[in-house]
Amino acid sequence: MTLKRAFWTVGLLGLVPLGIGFYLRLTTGHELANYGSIIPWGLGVAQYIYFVGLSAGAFLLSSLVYVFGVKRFEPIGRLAVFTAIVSLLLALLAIWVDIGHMERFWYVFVYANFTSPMAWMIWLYTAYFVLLVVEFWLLMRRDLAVARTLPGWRGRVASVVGLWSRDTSDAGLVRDMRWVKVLAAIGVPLAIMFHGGVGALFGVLASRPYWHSGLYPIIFLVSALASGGALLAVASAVFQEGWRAHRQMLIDLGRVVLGLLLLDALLQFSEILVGLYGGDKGFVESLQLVLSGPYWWVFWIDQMLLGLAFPVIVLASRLHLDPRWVTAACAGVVLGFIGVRLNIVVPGLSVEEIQGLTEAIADPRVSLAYFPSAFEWMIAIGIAGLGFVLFGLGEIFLPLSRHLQPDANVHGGAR
Amino acid sequence: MSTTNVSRRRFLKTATAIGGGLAGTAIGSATAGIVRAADGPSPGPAELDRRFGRDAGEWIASCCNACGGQCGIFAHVVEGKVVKIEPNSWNPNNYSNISSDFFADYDPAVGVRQGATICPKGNAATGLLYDPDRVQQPRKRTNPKKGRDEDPVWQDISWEQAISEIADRLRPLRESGHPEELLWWSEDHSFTHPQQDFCALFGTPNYSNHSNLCDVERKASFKMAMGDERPLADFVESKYILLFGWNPTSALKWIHLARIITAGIERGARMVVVDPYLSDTAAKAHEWVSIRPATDGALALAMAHVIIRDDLYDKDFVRDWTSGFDEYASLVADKTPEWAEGITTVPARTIERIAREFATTQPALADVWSGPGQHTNGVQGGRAIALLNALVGTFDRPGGMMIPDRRGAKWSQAEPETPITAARFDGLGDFPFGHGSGVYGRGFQRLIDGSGPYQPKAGMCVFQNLVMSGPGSSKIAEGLSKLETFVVVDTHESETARLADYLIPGTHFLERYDVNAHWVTWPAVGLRQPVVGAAERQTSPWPYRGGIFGQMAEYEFVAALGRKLGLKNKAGADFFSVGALSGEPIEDLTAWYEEQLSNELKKGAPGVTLDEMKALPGAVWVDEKGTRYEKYAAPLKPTLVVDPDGTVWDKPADDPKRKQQAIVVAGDLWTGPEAEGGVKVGRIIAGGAFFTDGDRILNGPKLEGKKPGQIGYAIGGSDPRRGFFTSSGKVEFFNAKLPEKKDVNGQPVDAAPEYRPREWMPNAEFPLYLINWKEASHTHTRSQNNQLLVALKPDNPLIISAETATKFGIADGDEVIVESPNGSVRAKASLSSRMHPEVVGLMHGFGHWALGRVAKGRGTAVSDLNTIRYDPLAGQACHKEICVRIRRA
Amino acid sequence: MAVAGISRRQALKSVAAGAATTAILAHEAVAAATTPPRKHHWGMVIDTQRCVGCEACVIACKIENMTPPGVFYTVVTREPLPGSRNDRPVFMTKPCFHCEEPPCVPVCPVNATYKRPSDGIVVVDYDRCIGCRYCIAACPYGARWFDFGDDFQFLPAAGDQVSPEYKQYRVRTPDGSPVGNVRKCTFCLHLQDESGEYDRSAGRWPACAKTCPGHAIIFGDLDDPESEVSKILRERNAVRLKEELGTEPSVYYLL
Ligand SMILES: Nc1nc2c(c(=O)[nH]1)N[C@H]1C(S)=C(S)[C@@H](COP(=O)(O)OP(=O)(O)OC[C@H]3O[C@@H](n4cnc5c(=O)[nH]c(N)nc54)[C@H](O)[C@@H]3O)O[C@H]1N2
Ligand SMILES: Nc1nc2c(c(=O)[nH]1)N[C@H]1C(S)=C(S)[C@@H](COP(=O)(O)OP(=O)(O)OC[C@H]3O[C@@H](n4cnc5c(=O)[nH]c(N)nc54)[C@H](O)[C@@H]3O)O[C@H]1N2
Ligand code: SF4
Ligand code: SF4
Ligand code: SF4
Ligand code: SF4
Ligand code: SF4
Ligand SMILES: [Mo]
Repeated sequence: MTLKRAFWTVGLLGLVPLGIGFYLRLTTGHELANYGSIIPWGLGVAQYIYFVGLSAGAFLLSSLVYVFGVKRFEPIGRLAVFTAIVSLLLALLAIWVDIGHMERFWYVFVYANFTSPMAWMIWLYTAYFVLLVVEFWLLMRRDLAVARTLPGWRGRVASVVGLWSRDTSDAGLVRDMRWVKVLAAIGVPLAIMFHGGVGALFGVLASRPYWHSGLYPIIFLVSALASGGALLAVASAVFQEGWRAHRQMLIDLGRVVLGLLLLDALLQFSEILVGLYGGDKGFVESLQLVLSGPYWWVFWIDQMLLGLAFPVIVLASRLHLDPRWVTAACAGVVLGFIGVRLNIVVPGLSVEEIQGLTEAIADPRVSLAYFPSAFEWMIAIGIAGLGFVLFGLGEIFLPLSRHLQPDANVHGGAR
Repeated sequence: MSTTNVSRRRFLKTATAIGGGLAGTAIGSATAGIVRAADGPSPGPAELDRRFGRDAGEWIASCCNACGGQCGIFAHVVEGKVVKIEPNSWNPNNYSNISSDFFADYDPAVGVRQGATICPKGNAATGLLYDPDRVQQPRKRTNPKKGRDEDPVWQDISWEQAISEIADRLRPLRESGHPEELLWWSEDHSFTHPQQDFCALFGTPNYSNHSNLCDVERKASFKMAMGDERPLADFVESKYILLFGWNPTSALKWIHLARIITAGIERGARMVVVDPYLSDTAAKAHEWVSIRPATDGALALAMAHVIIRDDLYDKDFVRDWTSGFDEYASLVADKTPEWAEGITTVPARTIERIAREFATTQPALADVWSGPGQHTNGVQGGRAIALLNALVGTFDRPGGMMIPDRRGAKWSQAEPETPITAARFDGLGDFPFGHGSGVYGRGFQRLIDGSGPYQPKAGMCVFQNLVMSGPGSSKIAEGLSKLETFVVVDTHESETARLADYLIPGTHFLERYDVNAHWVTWPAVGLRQPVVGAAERQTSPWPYRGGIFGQMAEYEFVAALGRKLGLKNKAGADFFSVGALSGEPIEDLTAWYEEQLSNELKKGAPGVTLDEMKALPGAVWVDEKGTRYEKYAAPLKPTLVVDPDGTVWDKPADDPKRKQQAIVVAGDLWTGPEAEGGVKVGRIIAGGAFFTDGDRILNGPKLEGKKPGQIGYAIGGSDPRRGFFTSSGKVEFFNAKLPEKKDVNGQPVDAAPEYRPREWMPNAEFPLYLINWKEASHTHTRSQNNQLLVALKPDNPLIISAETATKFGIADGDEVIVESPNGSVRAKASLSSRMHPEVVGLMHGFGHWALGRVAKGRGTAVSDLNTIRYDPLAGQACHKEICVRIRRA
Repeated sequence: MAVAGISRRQALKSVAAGAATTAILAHEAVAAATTPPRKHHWGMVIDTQRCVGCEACVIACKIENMTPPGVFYTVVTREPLPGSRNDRPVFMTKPCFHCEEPPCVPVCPVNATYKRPSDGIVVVDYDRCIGCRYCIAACPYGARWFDFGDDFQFLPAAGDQVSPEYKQYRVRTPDGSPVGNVRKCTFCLHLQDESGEYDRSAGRWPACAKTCPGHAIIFGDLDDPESEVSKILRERNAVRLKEELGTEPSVYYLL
């Protein structure tokens, strides 16, 4: 419980910078941001792909339960879908604040340019979002129908969220779950496409050698799964008293995360090797920046130590049998991936497209150096805080951790 | 307007817009502006195009003065504001200095068809015009303490108060009979005439100007060699361009330089740049010759050695048009490339090759500017370089060093009621090749130690930043602090202005008038005119047009001061109140200056009034006769008229204004019969009457107290020709009379350009040469508050060769301390193989501790390391003669 | 300073007007159907031999287009040639290349940036651009600039600056387009006349080319065999940067 209280505190504290950051965004636009025209994307975009990855990863893991009927992970099924929704919302918030004209975000729907990976991505995640919400609603519907009788706020919220559904019958549940399966099944390729699409968004840019690789979409997927799985483990530990209630599941999740993490590391490694072997100057420069640039510690400490070495050591050793260590390892992965995302966005951009470009003009916006400004940190921390709060609210108002009736028919076939 | 209010409003606005956007999606509606035109983006309403577009407002022809270049411009003025400066295609200064090149592309309707150009400083001129850091109101010092680091604690005062208080402080100097106690420093191309007239009428001989900081060594070098102060290189027709310490494609002064040099190269010229630094000009050259500073003279002598040794010189030219060749040949006989290698560090092989290339690729030219010319040995070194042109015979020939045709507007100095008898404070006369612009350094030194002939009490500085642009900031500040009254007229609060008792707001060049001679080889005169000016002026009893703050233009200020002091000319007229053309009193100060200019134009080559000038295309007058070559060989037509009775007149018989000049006595011109005290003033040569002095032909009789100019030359009975304006009428390799003159240190002047090391040489303690230069992005110390230019060049890192950096343990980007015996400054190290290993260098102009918020604290000041230093022959300020040591900060 | 026409347009913009999405889409279709035929292919030949690195072009462009700090439609690089002795710099001015296959265009999620059908100029529709900056990432030549809303601190106030870009004459305000948009060189198309022609002798010519002291920027119609640019390209060896990307820049360099 104390962990949960800590979560709440962090989350509510996070809302303060979010408020200030948002106010500043509306009053000063992008003036306070530290990115420029050479590195046009910064912390906001990194945060966006970070959360999008978490969302896709969490969702794909939920599909283990709802499509492939892997019962072991059943306890976190709903939590996974909820995580996917919250993460997606945070991602969208991060990118919304990041665009130059927030009031025009809807142009993407009316003027979509389907040669743009970005437009594709937006349409896909819109579809994905709708799907997530419907699936999630179906997952909760019966519990909400039950919960509407609860006294006070919780009942009222349950009633509204459940769209006033009163059907608490098993038949209803079975019907819900059949639809869930259909939706989840559609969702799998959608999530793959859309997150792969985020990878493609970067990968298609021939202008950026660091990103320009066929492997990018795949790496994005694997890393999404790894980080999503890790986040789920943490969320479950925090909100579902995971390390007591679902000890084995956490341990299993830990194994999955380990596997994904290693696969991800392998892919990244081969990507680096290929890039180095190919000897592309831009790629090497970016890589050098990652490994030994001014922010070397993001890679070595955050990504490698916290995000890879520490969790791998824990998860591959006997410690992996202790759910608390698993949680800690997964938390490491979750934090480590912040670095991964930053190290995708920034170094990929901080290579001169034309030699001497940044020396030609003396202006802070024309520079290869980037470190997020206080304003950007406020928004980023605030959005993370909002995530905490949303989780907390979900925990209070939604039947996230309630187990489904252990009814064999509910999940149907393949097991 | 409170910022919180603004941001609240903006917050609400954005928030509403977002809400509107959300609603927009929800109801699937659109806004009007986002529908794309077929070939979009959709233009705004035509009414806006009419109001702000290219055809809106006015395009006013004028001349730039963001540097001394005076290029032609057009200023686009919309709703009372200058929005853009563009090149003036009618002005040759913006295209070519050779008329055939200019007129080949010329169409009276559009000017040069390819289009003329302007530099970044000119393009960015509005950045300083509308600079909020400009001085807008006269200021008076309230802190009695003066010094480099003293805050003047300004108090704003009215124009009326400023002028009457300054007059009150100057008047006693005249009344006590010591007007010479006023020192005056001015820029050298803008509104100098009213300032010179003021000084003359006030009674002080101490008018000095900018040239002393600039190129008087080069002037002296060429004057000694070929009699003309400022020959201009004909790059576009040249086939071999050899530059010593000149950076013309970056230190762009006359904007045509960039074009004529690159065009010259494109048409096949080979370019070699001799410089310790691979300057941006050297970057355009085929070859960079890296040289040890201040040794250029030795290199030139060794080149002469090779050219003479190998018999590669132009025999005809040397025979017909030079003197002292044999002496020169023996001087350079032992100046072998090996000898020069030891001095210059340039490999002997290279010297051999360049010398041969130079002599065998024709036409070739060798030119020199501030590089060698801002060291104590620059005059003779420059002379050696100038003489290279004589060896290849290209003076005033296509592709060579052209003698400029200086006919332009005509000004004659106002004459005072009583002639000035006091000596110049700086002792200019002690410098055998001193220039009318004075010797700044000696003046400052004398102010400090009281060693002058008298102790000046007042100073006036117009459009100069002496403290930073002269050598030795601290010393100069100390000297200026000795003045009881110091007035500075500046657009900004410069470092110099901070020493002033009165700081008078200057005008930006877009706010004022002037006529400019252009730096091309044939006569061309451009007009600067005010393109903006305040509709409203401060309350002031002085009637004038005013700049954007309602301030007086510099000439109006000077004239107002002259009126307040009641300065009269020889005829007893109130000079600053009388129209120069009409002779009528003029109340309006601007109108008074307009008449001055009109007079100068009318009497000068253009022969038009100011209003007629304004109506010319591009407001520029260009002589259609164009560039004349080999002017020195041109026969001189007599201007004097001899009647059959032997009377000599200045004008033909039909001219009612003609005056008798002389009588002919036995083939000579006499002022009168010898018995009646007549003096011989001329000769009949080849049937024409001329004023002469020996073989020199003069433009007036050489009489007591008169110094007529040389206009030609005739040896014995030979035909009178223009010749070269030297004492022999020829290019002088050697002049036996020179050692009779003594330099300021009492040393005899070398008859031929011997190489002598400069005064300040590196030693164990200060082992490095420090040089400095100008670049395209800035003008001297005046442009560093212009944010537009600062984006191009924000500071001036110290360039160090990798070799030297290693020796001193310095890495690229390090903060370093640069020390000389005179001071210490910080700089950012930039490692580059563009620099000679014995040398470090940086761009001049940065390191302000005043001038404005953008400039302040930016980069490194050069002059802090220097001390008062001037060359002994011409008195040039020596900015580039510095020795330093460096270490990591 | 409020300019009547502009504030009206801005008002129109922030109010969600009546036309339905379908109507817009239909309009897009109409616009597409009425695509004007290609009349010109504007391009440049930049002669690095003539360029003296003075950066007059940079400032002329800034003043012409009234761009804020941090936005430079053209810049001049001064890199040493690889392998050159003495770090001798090569000066090179670099506007937008108005690529025939511009990678910045297909990536735009809202079609805000596109190649003008009639003359190949790559433009940004400020009223449409959402400011995602994807196009900046996509341009291989560093030719796109985000307008952060910064203003020169010590130059005349933002409100005094009217940019003639696209003949839209926008008054600079802290939050209205083009602040928050991506901006780029337009080949100064606002100087074209109604029929899309430039006129050099009337000064209706790209500002950078007009001021260039080295006469290094030669502008003209690459489709017109008689134009100066076409002649030079026939006579001399010109290169385009990063040709391997297939972008087909309309700006050539003489080395
Ligand atoms: N953009 C811009 N243009 C300007 C000016 C400006 O302020 N800004 N100022 C104008 C004025 S007033 C002038 S006088 C001209 C001056 O123009 P330049 O004569 O070109 O003046 P600098 O750039 O000071 O110096 C020229 C070169 O001399 C080199 N040098 C230094 N010491 C030596 C030496 O001992 N020997 C040799 N061979 N070279 C040496 C420097 O490295 C530099 O490259 O520029 C004019 N043009
Ligand atoms: N170390 C070093 N020193 C040098 C040089 C160098 O190469 N190295 N170069 C030397 C050379 S060649 C020269 S010519 C001199 C030049 O030196 P200066 O002639 O002193 O020129 P600036 O340094 O530009 O200072 C000009 C002053 O006039 C002010 N001003 C600008 N425009 C106007 C105007 O329109 N009206 C008025 N009233 N004031 C105005 C400016 O604010 C500034 O304070 O510097 C010399 N000093
Ligand atoms: S060189 Fe540049 S600053 Fe100097 S006068 Fe010409 S345009 Fe103006
Ligand atoms: S204006 Fe011309 S010469 Fe100057 S940097 Fe630009 S392209 Fe080069
Ligand atoms: S240079 Fe860049 S911005 Fe210009 S058209 Fe090509 S890709 Fe687009
Ligand atoms: S920043 Fe604007 S123009 Fe660029 S891709 Fe995004 S919406 Fe399109
Ligand atoms: S063409 Fe126009 S917009 Fe493009 S760089 Fe040149 S001046 Fe700027
Ligand atoms: Mo100068």
